[in-house]
Amino acid sequence: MYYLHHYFNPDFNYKSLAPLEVSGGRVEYQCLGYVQNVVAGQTLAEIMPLEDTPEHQRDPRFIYSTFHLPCGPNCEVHPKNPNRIIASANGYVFYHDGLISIKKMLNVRGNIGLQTGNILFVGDIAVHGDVQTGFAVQSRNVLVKGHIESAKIKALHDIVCLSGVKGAAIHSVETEEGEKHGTRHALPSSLLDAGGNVRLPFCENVQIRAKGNVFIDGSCLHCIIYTEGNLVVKGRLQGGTVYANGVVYVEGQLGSDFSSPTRIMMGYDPFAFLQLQKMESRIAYLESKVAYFKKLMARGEVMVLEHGARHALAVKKLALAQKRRTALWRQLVLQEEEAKQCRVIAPGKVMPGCEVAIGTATFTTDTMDSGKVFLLEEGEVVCRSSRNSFGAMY
Amino acid sequence: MSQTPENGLGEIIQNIYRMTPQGKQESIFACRPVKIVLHEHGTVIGRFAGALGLRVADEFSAALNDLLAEQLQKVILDLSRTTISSSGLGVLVAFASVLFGLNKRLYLFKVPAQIKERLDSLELTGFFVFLEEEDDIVSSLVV
Repeated sequence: MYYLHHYFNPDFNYKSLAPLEVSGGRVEYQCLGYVQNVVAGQTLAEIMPLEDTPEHQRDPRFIYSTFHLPCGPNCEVHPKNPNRIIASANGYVFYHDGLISIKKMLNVRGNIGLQTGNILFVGDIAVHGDVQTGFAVQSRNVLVKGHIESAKIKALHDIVCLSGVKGAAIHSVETEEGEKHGTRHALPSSLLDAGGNVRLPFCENVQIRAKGNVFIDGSCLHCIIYTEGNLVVKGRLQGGTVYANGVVYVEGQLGSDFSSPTRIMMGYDPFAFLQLQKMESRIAYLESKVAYFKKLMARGEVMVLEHGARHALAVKKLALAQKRRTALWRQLVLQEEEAKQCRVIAPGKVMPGCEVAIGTATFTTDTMDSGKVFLLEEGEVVCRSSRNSFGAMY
Repeated sequence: MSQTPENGLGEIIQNIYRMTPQGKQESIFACRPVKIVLHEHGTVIGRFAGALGLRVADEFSAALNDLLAEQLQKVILDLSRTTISSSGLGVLVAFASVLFGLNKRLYLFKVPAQIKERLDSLELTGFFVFLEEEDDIVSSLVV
């Protein structure tokens, strides 16, 4: 007789999940364990003689009279150990028709919200509903058919949303250490972070980080965009800041009817800017913490004993952050070759109040115009008519 | 900040190590295969030395899950003396997935080059945060 021992939960049911219980009786409603991730090469199950398994661990469903390895799709027998089933691809594992199977793509047939919790998946994910406010998704590629609200989406490659992204402007951020602090300016609450391209029909109050290109089929309002590739907006680019180092093409309207500042910064590594901004924010937070602990410790010996260690840690962290900031500033150098290729192309309207910076040179529009190209010439940002610059193209 | 010869995590946690009769340093919180160093501000630094494979995976996973019962802000795993099989990677991914549900990330300290190559080839590097230097650990501690 043989027993099949599983290294995953064979009874996992994504429809009956329970939130994680932590100390003090609290439950974390965002942690539901929606998916059982497995990686290529991971052992899923092992068949062994029945007598080798303690009686209290035996499940009668998995006792076999003959040697039986239920290998399904994307599973295989271990080449060196034929008693084991291993995964041959990254994905999620489940039982289907009596076979251990792995699927590389996760379909969430609804919203990502209270029913699913946050989802981290090693393959590709397709969300058939919305990604609701306060939730997060991370996977290889992300496709969202509904809307993305004030949520965080992170993909190793591409992010595509078919219905649009609408965040909110907030005045507090959470650091990577989980500390919340206020910010002077409002920041978008929705974050899209892609290692590849991002494609959206429209976006509002979103922070987009893309190592590839960003395509927006409609309008882009009050967003902060970091892209190492190109940005294409077929509607309006209104408000917010774009950090790019290639071509920014805005077909509809560049700038706002009400002169909300619209900034485009080019010529430097966009993600170096991002690191610097994060570091500035962290330094401001740590300075406030150091001042706070110093004020507490001034009250007496008891306070020194209670808060001394945390004050010392905050001072140490502040010194490290300042050192790191100095190093980042040194690395922020003008990429001269890329700067010469940078273009902002606006065949539609160009409103006053748009600032285009390429390297250390800037240009700010002060009148309404149309059909313009901004580029770097002899160290200055110049504004040319796109008809003259591109001839038959326009 | 000086480095201790044993673990490379430095002064910041030196006060919660003790000297054994053999003159070696060990954590006062030894817990199954993962030596847990619990920082008082909810940052947990754990060290696993050895081969993280199928046989240890269950116990390792249970040790990590025990941490979740605490009110922790951050989990850092020192893997400087670890070799990992695919099953071990699966355990790390599963734990990172649970932490993701808590809006936190799993920090890996001094990951050996071979393990990093393995993570790269399986496209898993984006699911973790890598810390290389002791200063990175200090920077990531919660004040």
